[in-house]
Amino acid sequence: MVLLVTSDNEQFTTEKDIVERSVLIKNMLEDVGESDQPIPLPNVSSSVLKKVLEYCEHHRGEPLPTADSEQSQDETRKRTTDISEWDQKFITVDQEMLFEIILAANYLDIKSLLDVGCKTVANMIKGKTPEEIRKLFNIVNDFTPEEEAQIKKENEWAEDR
Amino acid sequence: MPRHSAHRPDSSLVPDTNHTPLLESPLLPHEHRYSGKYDGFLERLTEVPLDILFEIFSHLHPLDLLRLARTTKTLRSILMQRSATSVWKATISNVDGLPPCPPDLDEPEYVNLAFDDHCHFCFVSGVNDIFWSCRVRCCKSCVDEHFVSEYDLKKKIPLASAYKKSRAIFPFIVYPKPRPYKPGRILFYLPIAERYVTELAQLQGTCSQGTLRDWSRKKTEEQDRRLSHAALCESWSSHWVHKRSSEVNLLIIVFLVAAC
Repeated sequence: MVLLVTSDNEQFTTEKDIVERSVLIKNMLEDVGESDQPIPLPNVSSSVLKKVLEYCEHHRGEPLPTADSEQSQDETRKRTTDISEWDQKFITVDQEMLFEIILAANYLDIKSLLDVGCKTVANMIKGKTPEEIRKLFNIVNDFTPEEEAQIKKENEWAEDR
Repeated sequence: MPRHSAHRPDSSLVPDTNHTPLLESPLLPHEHRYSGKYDGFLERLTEVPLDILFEIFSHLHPLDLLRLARTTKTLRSILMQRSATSVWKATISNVDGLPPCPPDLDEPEYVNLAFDDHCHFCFVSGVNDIFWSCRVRCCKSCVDEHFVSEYDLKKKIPLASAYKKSRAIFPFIVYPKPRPYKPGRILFYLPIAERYVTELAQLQGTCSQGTLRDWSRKKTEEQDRRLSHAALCESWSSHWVHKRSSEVNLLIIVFLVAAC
């Protein structure tokens, strides 16, 4: 059993083979050895950790990607945005939670979860016009109409302009 | 593309249990502490480590990336820097069969040429004529303005007459695209021709025959490279046009069969 403490001081008890999907925690446990001490996760809130643990529990026992396989996959396989059905359902959350899950997956070093999060955001952006992207993410157009016309002409690197 | 290496938790930052109790908050990378309510993902761009942002973007089509670079100043400043080359390359490699970006174009320029359907001169949309060898997408009326016949090229640019084979040096198109019994005219692309002439004029004032020969050789090589890359692009785009039209034909057949 492993005890985790979130940024809002909530305690979570979970099993080692679930939480070890996080390379950060796996390494910590290896360094520390058997210990009753709780592991503090100052960058993760309880609502996010709950989701992350749900993901880890579903995927427990699956082989962790190694650095080598990760690299060869990158080189040989085209980047697809396919997400499995369960993962897709799991990641259907509001944008703020999606954002937090991505940051938590990065911090906890859970590669497959980070991947699902990144692909989900990519899928949201795909095929949209700049205006649709702004609307989707609630961002303000800070270009003047003149600048907007100008940027269509400027496609070289900023350093070369 | 390196993946998150810069943001991997550094083992040296994990507390040493011999001296530090685990409960004491260790110094960990990326302190993400927020306050207030957030509605949007990209609104919080500055909080996302750049490598995660690039990881997200690398799953996109290059046109998506071009459009992202036109949404806000922040995104534009991130994406239009040379440091973003890797993410542009990754999206370009997502497109089946698209030849790699040629060395005389920046990646965003190449993506704009290949996928943004605006005329490069008047910005009217829905323009499908891409003149790969001239690196330009151009509507019909702008062709008249920015392309000239060999006769006009030599008239406009007397120095061009020095080159018997203008086509070996000056970028040109065959327009309209040749069809049986309709060969199309050879037209030269003025903006590049004019640039070359300025270069030539500068050279002529200062240097010897040998330098001029070097210049010609360099331009001929450039032209060869442009033409062979253009041929690859032509075959790539005609493959997709063909595939699309055969898909449409198939749909029509399916529809007709269903209607019978």
